[in-house]
Amino acid sequence: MMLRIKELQALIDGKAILKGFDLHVRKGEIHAIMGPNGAGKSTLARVLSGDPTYEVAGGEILFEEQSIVELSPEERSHLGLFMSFQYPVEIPGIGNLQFLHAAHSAQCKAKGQSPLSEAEFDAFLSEKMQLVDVACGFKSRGLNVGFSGGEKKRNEILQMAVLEPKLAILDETDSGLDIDAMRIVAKGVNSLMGPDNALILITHYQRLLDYIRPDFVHVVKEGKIVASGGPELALALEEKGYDWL
Amino acid sequence: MPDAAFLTHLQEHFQKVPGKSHFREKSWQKFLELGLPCKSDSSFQYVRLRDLYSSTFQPVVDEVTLSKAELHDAILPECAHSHIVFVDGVYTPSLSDTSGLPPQAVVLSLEEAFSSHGSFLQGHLTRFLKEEKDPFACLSLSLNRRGVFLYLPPKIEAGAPLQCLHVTTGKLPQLSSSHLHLVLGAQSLLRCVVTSKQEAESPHLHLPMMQISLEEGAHLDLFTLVEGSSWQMQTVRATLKRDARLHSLSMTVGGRAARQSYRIALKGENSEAHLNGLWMLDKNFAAHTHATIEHQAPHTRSMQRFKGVLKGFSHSSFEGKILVEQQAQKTEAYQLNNNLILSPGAIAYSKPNLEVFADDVKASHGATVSQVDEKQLFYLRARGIDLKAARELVIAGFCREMIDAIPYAGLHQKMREVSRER
Repeated sequence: MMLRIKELQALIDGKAILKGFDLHVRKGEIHAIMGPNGAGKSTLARVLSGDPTYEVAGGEILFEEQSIVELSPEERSHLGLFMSFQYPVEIPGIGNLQFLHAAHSAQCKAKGQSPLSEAEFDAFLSEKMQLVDVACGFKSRGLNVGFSGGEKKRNEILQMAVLEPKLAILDETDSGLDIDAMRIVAKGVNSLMGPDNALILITHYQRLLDYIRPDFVHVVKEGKIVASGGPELALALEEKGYDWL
Repeated sequence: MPDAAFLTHLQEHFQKVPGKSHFREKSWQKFLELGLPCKSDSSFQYVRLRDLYSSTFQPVVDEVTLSKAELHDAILPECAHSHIVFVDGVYTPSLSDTSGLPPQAVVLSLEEAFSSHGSFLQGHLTRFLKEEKDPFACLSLSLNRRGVFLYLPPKIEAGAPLQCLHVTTGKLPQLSSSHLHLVLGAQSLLRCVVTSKQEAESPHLHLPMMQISLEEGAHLDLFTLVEGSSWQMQTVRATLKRDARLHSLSMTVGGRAARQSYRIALKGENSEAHLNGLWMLDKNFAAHTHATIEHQAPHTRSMQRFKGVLKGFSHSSFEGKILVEQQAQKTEAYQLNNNLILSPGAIAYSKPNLEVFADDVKASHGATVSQVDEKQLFYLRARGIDLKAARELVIAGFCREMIDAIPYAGLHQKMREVSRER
């Protein structure tokens, strides 16, 4: 089992958002998590990646049978967990290349490998950039500064390509993307998926699931999963809305 | 009452300055008229004046034996043959080398310039004294021993930058004053870099004064680095004629209290001033910036951008004033001060200020004081970068736009290292 979430309860500013959340994810699986605004979807992504503004009040998160609740965000990343941010943060003065190299080097060090030199990393990055179809200008730009919504999301997928995580959680990666940008993002994500990886797609719309086919679809309402099924569940939701459940 | 005692102390210094001149006397009179600033003067509100007024300073020793070799490391490679050296505030031609400047450039001691360019200088300085409101600027002029006058004739572009190196030799705290008067003829161009070298870590009081006249279409690019552990009350006064450009970037990385006072008068149409600054402070260092921009003609532009990073028990203040006179229509004036506070003991004060009397003007001002953004830290950590490295990246990123604007390779590298240490 890659990820086992048991009875997870999470708070922000003392307010309960996740109220007994359960989810099991195996290698090679793609899970879609859908639900209305405020259901707790993004909170799940944040809590999994270790955002210190959220407090875990109960339950357990096991990643490859190891509890990660007490781990820092960087330690979780080193284990192979990745979250694509719904709203990627702009950081002025840090070049995208510098950032990606720093992140990649940190992963290498955590695995006991020696980091790539700047030139080696540059070549490695160029290869990855083709996957997500970004221009080479991406390297020299400031981290997400002045990026369009679509560029920010593609930059997230580029980071995923560079870090090669075991489990990726994409938090509303499709929101704000036009159909062409979504195709590019989906193509990138699909090319990174293999039998040893797993993916959790958090989305509000069924649209993305036409491009990245999930094995399981879960519906979240008021902080817990209220329905689970195959891809047909997403189609039914699209037709009937969340109130139908 | 420490003020009175300090004033008497300064009087003794003034009397010891050799070679009385009419002008020095007038500067002293103006200083007395303005009086020592006190806590209630808004432009000195945050300067630790009581600490300064309870200090005593030695007068500078006239004969200093320094060799060129001892200064070698302090001279930028870009300025190997274009530097002027002030020893304890006194212009020292024997340690200076201006052979790399264009042959048409005129470099004189102020005393020499008074005889060759007397009427120009007299008029200029008299006007200056009439308008000056900063007591330390007047004090600087009244205590100055040997200043420099540099004139670049029209259409001359200096290839090599000019370095002004201030060397402080005393082991005991001493009071020194220096004076650089720059006149750039029409369409001439000069790059100038001001640095310092302190022989002993002592809380000296240094009063550097820079007067700048930019004729039509002249362009001055100025970089100032302030470091060490002294009290420094620096004055920069500039007038810009039509189409003239002033680009100033200053960095402060040390100082018991480093105060910079700018007054820039945009007198001609289409003149433009960029004032940028970065202070990166630690321990109990303090940096104060006081900038006044006077828009006196139409279509003038000014951009001020000051950033501060404060650690330990350091503190800073910024007071910027943009004054747009009635005739200065179509002015553009911007002013921004951002501060990053890294420890609970550090303090930043910021007071942007606009006075606009014209009606067709684009102007804005703003100030922020904040800690390192948690959202930025989390983003970096989520990618595997540890907290310490993430903080360093965010802080270095904050400083980067200023540091990357330093055109001197050695100083650029040095400042990047300082920004990482913070």
